[in-house]
Amino acid sequence: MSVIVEAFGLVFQPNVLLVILGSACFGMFVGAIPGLTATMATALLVPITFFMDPVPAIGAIVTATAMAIFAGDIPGALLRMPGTPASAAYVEDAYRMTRSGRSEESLGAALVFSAIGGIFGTIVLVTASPALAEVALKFSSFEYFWLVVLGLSCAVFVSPGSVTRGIISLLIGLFAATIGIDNPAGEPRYTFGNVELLAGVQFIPAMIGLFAVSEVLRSVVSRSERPPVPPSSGDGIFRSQWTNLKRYPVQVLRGSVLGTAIGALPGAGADIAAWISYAVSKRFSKQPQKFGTGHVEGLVEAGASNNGAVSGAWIPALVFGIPGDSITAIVIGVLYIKGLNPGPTIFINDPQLIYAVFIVFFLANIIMLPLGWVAIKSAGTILAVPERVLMPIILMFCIVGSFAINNSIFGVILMLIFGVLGFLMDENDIPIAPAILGLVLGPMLEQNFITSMIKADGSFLAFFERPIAAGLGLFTIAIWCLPLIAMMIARRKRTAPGPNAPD
Amino acid sequence: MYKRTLMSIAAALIGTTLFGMSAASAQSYPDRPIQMIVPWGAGGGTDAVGRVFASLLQEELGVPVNVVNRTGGSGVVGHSALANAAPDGYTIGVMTIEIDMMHWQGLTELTHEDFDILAMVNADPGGLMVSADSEYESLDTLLEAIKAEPKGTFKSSGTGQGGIWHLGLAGWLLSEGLEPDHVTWVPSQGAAPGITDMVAGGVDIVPSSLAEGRSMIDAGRVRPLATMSGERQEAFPDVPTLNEATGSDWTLAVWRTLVGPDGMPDDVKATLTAAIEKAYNSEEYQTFMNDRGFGMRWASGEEATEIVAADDASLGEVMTKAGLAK
Amino acid sequence: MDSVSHVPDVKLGGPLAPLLFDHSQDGSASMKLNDLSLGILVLLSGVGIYLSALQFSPIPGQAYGAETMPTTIALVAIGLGVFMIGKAVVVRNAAPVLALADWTRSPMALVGLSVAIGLVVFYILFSQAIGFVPTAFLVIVTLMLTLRTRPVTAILVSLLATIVIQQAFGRLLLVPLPRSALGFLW
Repeated sequence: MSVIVEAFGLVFQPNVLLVILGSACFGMFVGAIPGLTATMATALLVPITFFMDPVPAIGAIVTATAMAIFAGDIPGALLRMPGTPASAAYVEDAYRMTRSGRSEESLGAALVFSAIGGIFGTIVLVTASPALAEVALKFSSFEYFWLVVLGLSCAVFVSPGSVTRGIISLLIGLFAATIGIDNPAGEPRYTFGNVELLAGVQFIPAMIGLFAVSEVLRSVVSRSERPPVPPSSGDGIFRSQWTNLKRYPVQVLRGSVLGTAIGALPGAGADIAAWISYAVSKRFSKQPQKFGTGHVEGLVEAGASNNGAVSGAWIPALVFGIPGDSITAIVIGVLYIKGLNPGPTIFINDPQLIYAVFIVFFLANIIMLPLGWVAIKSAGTILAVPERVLMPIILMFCIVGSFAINNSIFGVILMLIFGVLGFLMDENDIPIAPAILGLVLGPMLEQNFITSMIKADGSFLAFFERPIAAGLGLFTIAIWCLPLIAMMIARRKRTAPGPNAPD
Repeated sequence: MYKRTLMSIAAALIGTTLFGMSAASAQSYPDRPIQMIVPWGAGGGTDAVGRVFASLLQEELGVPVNVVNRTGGSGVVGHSALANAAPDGYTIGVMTIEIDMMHWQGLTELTHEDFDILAMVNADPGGLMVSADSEYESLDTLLEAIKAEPKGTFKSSGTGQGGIWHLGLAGWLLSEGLEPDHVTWVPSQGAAPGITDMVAGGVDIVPSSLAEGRSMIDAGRVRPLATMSGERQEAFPDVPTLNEATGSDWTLAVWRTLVGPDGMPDDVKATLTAAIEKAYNSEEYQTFMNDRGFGMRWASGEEATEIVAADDASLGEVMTKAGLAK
Repeated sequence: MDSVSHVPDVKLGGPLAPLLFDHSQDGSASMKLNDLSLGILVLLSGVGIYLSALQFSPIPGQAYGAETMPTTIALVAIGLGVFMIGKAVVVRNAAPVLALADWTRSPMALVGLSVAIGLVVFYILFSQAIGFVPTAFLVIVTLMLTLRTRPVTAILVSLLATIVIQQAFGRLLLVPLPRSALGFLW
């Protein structure tokens, strides 16, 4: 008990609270700029946290990432440019809602259910962290392989438009991921002797290019000012959320649970959580046809999910020193610099610090509500700024962001290439999100497939020999079969004369 | 008239800039921020060492020292950026043992000779670890089992194909009179995923440094069997050396050196080396390294260069025998 | 029932297409290849990737390696390409090989596009030499003026944006932005 009192003492100090508030605003800012990710917010915070005590340092990172993941929804909803990859899954719905004058409802849903997901994830983190990490630790390359295939399947089935074009997009992403030397065989591929290409296609410049630069180019050629968004009525940010909560209680819970669980898996973070939750939501929804058209249901579930994942990712990080995602990978480095070795011993040696981190998690998710309200209200003015002024500045942000991730002008070159590519894909109705997922998951897919085959001496059956792998594998195959079976039934119905033929 | 004024202004500006710069460098080094290039990602061990030194050197030299991560391409990207920077002392960085491997693999022309080595600040011997669930309690029983079973029965992981711990394993197997690929190598993204996979039952052995397995060793999930050093490690006094365990003479340690591009002026090198030595001996550095379980190792200029060159030769030999050299 | 798999590839034909895709409502808004040519492009890319993957080899002693992933991608692409071509031939869509969007006939739009791309190229080539502040200012102000922002607004906003970005990234976040050759601007 005294430990918890001590933990409160560590957190509730003026300078610590000031740091938390400051990094909350910073997280809001970075997340709201298209292309600047929560990972980047963390990476950029590290040099600053270096000069702080452990609790404010960790507090700054916790707060900034939670804010950034939510704030990523703001440009997603207002400009159709997800601020972070975790917002990409439901960007179409959020944007359509804005276009039909419901920006406050969509952003309010993102805000409130982000906070709910985050708080749920934190409760799980606090109560069940050792047990959950135990399950995640049982995962070998066989289980990861299925998880990645599951993620990629979702990428194709979730994206709007035709499955054919979704696969084209996915293949573009997967192919881009093969460039470089960081593959299981350690063999340089498609590098043409270029040193920078050895590192492969860096994810952040590619994402900035595909999502943000392509949007700048599109706005430059279309040149039509966006139709003015009808002013959204009154204080709709929180009001409609009570209705949403009552209408979609299962979705909120499912999103929170699934997000936290996916976050707790090493290597899978908020973005995969959002994709899978959006797909699950659509699959089990009573109105799947409304998804992608400005429907709040998927937004509610995936919004809760990605913030749940932010908290969940800390479970393996704290308990075993194994990062749950790229953000916690950076955090582990910071903990070490502070002389706190993540691992089971940290719970014995410095329990007050762990509790202090938990308290910061709750605080971050609570102050998200008022700060998010301010952010949504002021972000609304983004729509009032004419594109001819906004777009050049966004372009500059993109350039600097692409540069900053590896401090290399090569990032800007990549950004430009992917910007033009994204523009052409958009012109041809090829969705962009599967390409991004292919780029992120491609290396994991390859790594886990090749290493599994080496371990199993080339036997495909090994993918079903371990119980969890078998479960995940059957689940994935079922997901693939469902639409095929559905399509066959539909075709049979269509060929058979009947009044109830679909379409 | 207008044109002439403009040109003279431009000339004056360029003149002051150039003159100002040369005057400044002659005057006193350092007088502006220094960049510290780290060729590996944020959050890793090399990054941590780079950042500790950056903050300590900042105090020592009185100018900001900014860490810049240049990652990817198995370290080639960062090492190239460092080697190609101006040798003026305003770009320094952390060089890792991969510099002794990448040119053998045919990835780059770059070798350690393209750098001015200031000091070696850390070295971690390799180790041999098994899962705590493993039936092998000591290295000699494990070695017997490896010898008794056909090639490829045992699997090992901890770096990518041809990575440093792959060579550590191959070198050890060679020293025991076995084929370098008698134990199959399973590529991984690094030591931590390799260890996780071993605990999950995916592979049998991880030959990474014990420091990298420390939190799992402390958690009772990983059993260290040996260290690839000449003497036992201070942080792991119960773990025997390879020589004690099986009589093998194989040793391997990964090190980190602070370097600059080849051709730095002598006075700059002297200033930097003195500051690095002071930082190395500071309590902050010592505490940090001990807490993290990293091995301390100090060697300046000449001595460090010799160690780097010796490793270059021995790694080249193992890589050639294992068929990993191009 | 997966609604997505219902939508036929021929965008203009599907009854759900307008619900799912904004751009397909007006065919001339975007510059796109028809399904047949897109299928051919996918097929050719697949064949190209397959041939290029022949230079990679498996990990010694293993059945798989560097060639596995590109080969798999290539085979999926070839299959997809054949499927798309077959479907396009059966459906016989009358869409032209390359539908030119309205904007391709507008000189303003073409100028804007080339200026935007050109400015990024300009930054890539010259930022290291002339420094962040002047390059960034030029990039922002030129694009603003091209998009017909009023000159006074353009100059003031560009200046402000440049300084804010430089301070936020260069000073606060210690990103090593290219140093200006004119020392006082750093």
